[in-house]
Formats: sequence, structure tokens, C-alpha cells
Amino acid sequence: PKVIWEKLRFVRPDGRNIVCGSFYDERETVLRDGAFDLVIGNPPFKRIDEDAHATDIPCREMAYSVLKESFAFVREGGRVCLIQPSGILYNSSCREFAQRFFTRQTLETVFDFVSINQLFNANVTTVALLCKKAQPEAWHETRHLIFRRTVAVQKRLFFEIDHYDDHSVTQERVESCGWIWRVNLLGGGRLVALYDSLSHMPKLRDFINSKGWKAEEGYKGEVRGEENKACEWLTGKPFLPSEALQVDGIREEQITVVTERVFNRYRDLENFTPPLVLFKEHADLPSAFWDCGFLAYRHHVFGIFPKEMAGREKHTAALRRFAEEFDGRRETLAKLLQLTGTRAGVARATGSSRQNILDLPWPEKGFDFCEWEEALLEDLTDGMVEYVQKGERSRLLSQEVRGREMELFQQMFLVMLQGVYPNLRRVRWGAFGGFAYCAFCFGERAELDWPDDSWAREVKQLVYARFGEVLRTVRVVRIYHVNTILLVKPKRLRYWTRSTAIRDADEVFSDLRHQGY
Amino acid sequence: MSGVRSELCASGKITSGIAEKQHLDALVDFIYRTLPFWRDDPERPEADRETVLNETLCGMLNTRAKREIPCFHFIHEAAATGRRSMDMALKPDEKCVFSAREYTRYDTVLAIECKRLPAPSRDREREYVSGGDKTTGGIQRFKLSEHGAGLPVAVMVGYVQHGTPQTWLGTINRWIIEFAGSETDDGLSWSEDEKLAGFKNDRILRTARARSRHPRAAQQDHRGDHIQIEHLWVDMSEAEG
Repeated sequence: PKVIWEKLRFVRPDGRNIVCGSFYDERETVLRDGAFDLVIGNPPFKRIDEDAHATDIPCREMAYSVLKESFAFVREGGRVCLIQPSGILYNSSCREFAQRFFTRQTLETVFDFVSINQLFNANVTTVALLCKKAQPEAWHETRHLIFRRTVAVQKRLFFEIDHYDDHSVTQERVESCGWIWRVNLLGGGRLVALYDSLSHMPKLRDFINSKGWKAEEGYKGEVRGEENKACEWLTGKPFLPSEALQVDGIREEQITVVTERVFNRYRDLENFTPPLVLFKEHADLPSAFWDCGFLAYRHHVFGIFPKEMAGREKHTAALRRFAEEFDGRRETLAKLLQLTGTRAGVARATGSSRQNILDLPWPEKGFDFCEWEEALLEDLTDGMVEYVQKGERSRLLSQEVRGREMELFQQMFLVMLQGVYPNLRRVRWGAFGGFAYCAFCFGERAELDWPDDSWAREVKQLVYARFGEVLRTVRVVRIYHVNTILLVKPKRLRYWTRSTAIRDADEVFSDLRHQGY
Repeated sequence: MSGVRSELCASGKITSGIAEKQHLDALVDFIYRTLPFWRDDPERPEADRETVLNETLCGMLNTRAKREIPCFHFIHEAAATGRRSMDMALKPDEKCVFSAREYTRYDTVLAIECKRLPAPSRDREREYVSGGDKTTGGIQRFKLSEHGAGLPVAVMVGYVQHGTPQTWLGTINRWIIEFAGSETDDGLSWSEDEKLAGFKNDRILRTARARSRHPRAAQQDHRGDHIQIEHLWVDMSEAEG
């Protein structure tokens, strides 16, 4: 209720077991009666002033320092649970710190609130880390629970975790795969294996290097407070505005001239001398080949060009072929960018960077994705990224599953299982109450009573489980009866995508294996 | 949060419509039908060494499994009991990554041992069956539970580089009979019931398969139960010249 947020104020505590002072200075006082079983809290998110506490702390962020030093307050085997900036998991500048930390303490659970803006009425995204003071075992697995922005969260009623946002991360991946949290945020599951296989492919930057080319951003105009210089060979020359570079090529009628007279970074003549392949730093990957004379561009565009000025024309054919090849792979690469980009899912949907584009996989013979890999990638751009960023306003949460979507779900489910169970077929689907169900059977006919609205109350109790006042979990119900498999879930589209079909198929297969089949 | 488990809402059991251990039959059939594609792949590097043959076969199996049986993937040179590595192990696919609650990453579904026929040297001649006190034999390792411990079924892939599958069937069964009549250095006992049976030879695809059943040594596997081995052979003799 709103009154709690707006009017409730606690009486200032002041007693024997409350210590007021600096976290860094009161350790002896706090520990006079021994170490604790649990440290829990929301440390300040601010820059550390004193160097003594900032050693090896990324960005001099106090919250990270408090996390590190909290373990001095707990006994061996005790626990620390602290709110942290989400950067500890999602920011590459924190990777070294996180890796060192997670090899020394056992990360038991990550409560991931990165999808929920303004959770603490502040413009910062957070996670909560539950750690045990103990060296992690090699076989340990961390639970990664992802909380999405739902209507219930927006109204401050309760948090929700659904079945597909409950992931296990092996200790090996916790220590060495900084990307695992982002890939789980985008759906996890087989996306993890897909990302893994993509990460072993040669990159676009490797290909560019092998050709003797360079990839560099355009010039940077004047920056106040920094050193700027004039560049006479650049001012007044033909200029490509970034909006003139589209996925279908360059809008030549929009080419103007460079009007700046001083530049923070003006680059070299090679950067703007053809042959060039130009890329805009955008998720759609607009790009074009250019060999019609000198063309300048700003730093939101980067060019690929021969390193040397002398003899650069002999690279023209190869660069043109590369541009055509890129154009042919663009649609796939745009999907991969959502998966491999370092800010994918946690920053604005259309942004990208030169680094992310150059880190795209570039296998010599092109990509050879199978049906389920294509489905996972398409679901990224067709709903998952929007779901991460918009939550309850996304298509996946605001719409219900309909005939066509259910058909795609069923087809994907069968693709995953018919290789082992060729006589598995879809039977029917329907909706009742707030739920949808979908059935498959082994053989010609399903032997099952079909749910109608009278099931709704019982199903609701199975699907939605409350844990206290602040948490609700959303489960998937799987019923096995004679020769029929019945899946029952909320009828929001989020639960009936091809990606969830893949996950459901894997879990059904696990069930069948355990049943002896 | 220990009480918060979101996924365990499966009820009931399938009681008709599928055969027991159908997933294992499907896997074995998949490996068998992949063998000729692998042998005849023009991009397969010419190689004699078992490790190279295994690696390329593993790659082909994974490429095809993605499309045909996406529940599984193949791991090359998986660690077995810590001393020896299996040639290949088959694991359920990303279920174990995204729901390690049910599996660990090291939960092998099917163990696969590969052998060249004939063996590369005379002192390893009978290694398809047993390596004696060196315990390098294929069937031997499964009996000792050095590979496939606890699994009901295993696969032995035979790369027939000389001779024919028919003659090798006879040779291998002769070795088993000879082992059954003598004491072996590894402490295993053999019987004539362990001969390969159910032989099927596909002369068009130049593949062959058979089956055998072997008691496990009780001291290694506490249950002392049996393991069924599916023998899948690919005739490479023409290709090898």
C-alpha cells in the first residue's frame, strides 16, 4: 500500500545492540562478542574516498568493498547477503574482482533484480548475493533467480519468479564465464551452449586482421575541457551523417560536408580514403561499401579499410566481397549481437559498440544453425529482449497465447523429442481460467480426461505458490497419464514460446528417462 | 529460499505407448546410421590413429545429433574413473546445464569405446576383447566398470580396416571362447554366453552390428550386475585401400 512507502517512518533505534559508526572503523566493537552467523544489508552505493579501502575495488565502489570486508564479520560457514550494483555481474570492469571473489567464497544464490528499474527509488539496477564463507567445491552450483518487472512488482505487491527464470550455474562457469548471467537473463538453458559454441568460432576482428585491414571509428568533434586541434585536410570535406547509413545502404543525397574546425580526435587520412566498408554502431548493423572518393564520418560510425595508403586499391574487390557477405549474414548477425553483445538486454535495445560488432562470430563457411538454434535466436529479437527491458509492458507478458503461437510451440516440442520418440504427436490445446494447456500422446489417441473450467481452482494452487507476503513462484504443471503428456501453464505468451517449448521438451525427456523410457 | 523450488510439479507416469529404455535404443540406432556418413564424408581427414578417428566421429555425431536427437550431445575423451578416459560419452544435452538439479554435467547416459580391427600391433591383437593385465581391452573395461559403471548399455564402435565384419565376428567370438577356458591376469572370468550374437551385416552401407551381454566384476560395481554391449562396426577396408 502506498501509505507505507510515503508515510511510514521508523523510530530511530538506539540501544545496546545497535552500533552507529563507520563500517570500516567499528569492526572491533562489533566483533567483541564473536563473529556472526549472518550479515545482511544494503550497503551504500558511492565512491570510496580513502585509498585504504579502495585497493582492487572496481570503480572504487563502496558496495563492493563492503561485500569483500563483510566476511571478516562472519564465522566460517556463516553467510553474507548484500544488495550490490548489478555491475558486479554484468560489467566487464568488475570481472576480475568477481572472479577472485567467487573462487574464495561460495556464491550460493544470486537474486537478480537487474530487470527492475527504480526498485529502491534510485536509478540503479541491483542484484543481491547470498554467499557462504567457505571455499567453493568444484561441484558446487549457484542458483540464479531472475526477477522480472511484472504488474505485481510495479504495484509493490510481491516479487514473482517463474519456472524459466530459475537457473543453476556450475562453479566452473561462475569462475570463468562472466557472460553466464547475461545469457541467463536472456533465457538461459540451451542459449548457454549456443553462446559457448559461438565463442569458439573465429571473430570478425580476426578476419579483418587476417586481411591486413583495420577497423576504426570516425573522428570526434570538439570536446570542451579537453585538448582539441584543427585539421585542415578534414574540414570542408564530404561528410556522411550517421543517419544516412541504413541497412540497405548509404543515402547519398544526405552526404554533406564537415563543418567542424577543431577536433578532439581527427584520425588519419586512411580512415576516410576508399575502399571502405562503413558500419553504424546500431543493433540493426547498417553497413555499406564505399569507393566513391574521400568520405568522413563521426565516431558513431566505424570503417574497415586497408592499413596502408599505398596500394589500397588492390583491396577493393576483397572489401566489396566482404561487404556483400556481411549483408547476406546481417539478419543472423543482428540476432547474435543480442546474445553476444556485452550490454545485450541490460542497456537500450538499439545501441551497440564497435567492440561488440567486431566480436561477432565470423566462421569462414557461414553459420549452420539447426532448427532449435534458429528458434532460440529468433525468440531473442522477437520478444525476449523486449521482455527483459519492458517487463509487464512487453508483448510476452501483455498478450495471451493464440492458435498460431501454440502451433509453433507444439511443433518445436515435437522437433526436440521425436528423434527419440517418433510416435509422439500433438493432440489438442485449450484454455480455462487464466491457464492454457497443451497435450501430446504416444500413439494414435490420447487417453485422458480433458480439463475444463472446473480444474481452474486446483490448477491455480499448483501453478502459483506463495511464500510469505512478498514472493510468488509460477510453476509449470506436467501430468503424465497412460500415454499422454499434459502441460499446464499461465496463458500469457511468455510461457508458450518456442524457447519454452525447448525447455519443456528437455524436462519432459528427463522425466521420461527417470520413468525408464 | 530452500523451500522455493519452482519446477517440481510433475505428476503421474506414462504406462503405455513407448518401450522401456527407448531413448537408449534410439541413441544406438542413431550412432549406427551415422557411421557410414562419417566414413564417406569427403572432408574427413585421412587418419589411422584411433584418437583422430574418434575425434572426427565425435564431431560428426554432434553435428547430426543437433538435428536428429537434440536431447543429447557427445563428449570426446571424457574422464571415466579417473585413470582412463572413455573414447566418447553421451550426455543429455542442455538439461544438465540449465537444470543441474536433475543431472550433473558428468552424468553419462551412454559410454562408447572405439577399437580398430585389426589392432595396430600384434601385442594388442585381442584388445577388442581384453588387454590382459594391462586392462586396455574394450569389453574388459566395461566388465571391470572402468567404463560405463552403473550403465545398463554401452557401445563399442569397430573401425574395420582390414578383413570383413563377418570374419571379425568369428575371430572375436573365438577369443571369448579361449578366455572362457582359461584364467585371465585381470581376475575376470569369462563364459561362452558372452559371445557376440544377433549379427546383422548391411553389405550396401558396409556396416554391421551385434550384441553381447557380460557380467560385471562384483568388486568394482557393488551390484555385480550385467552390461549389454552394442557392437557397431563400420567397414573402412575399401576406403583405406
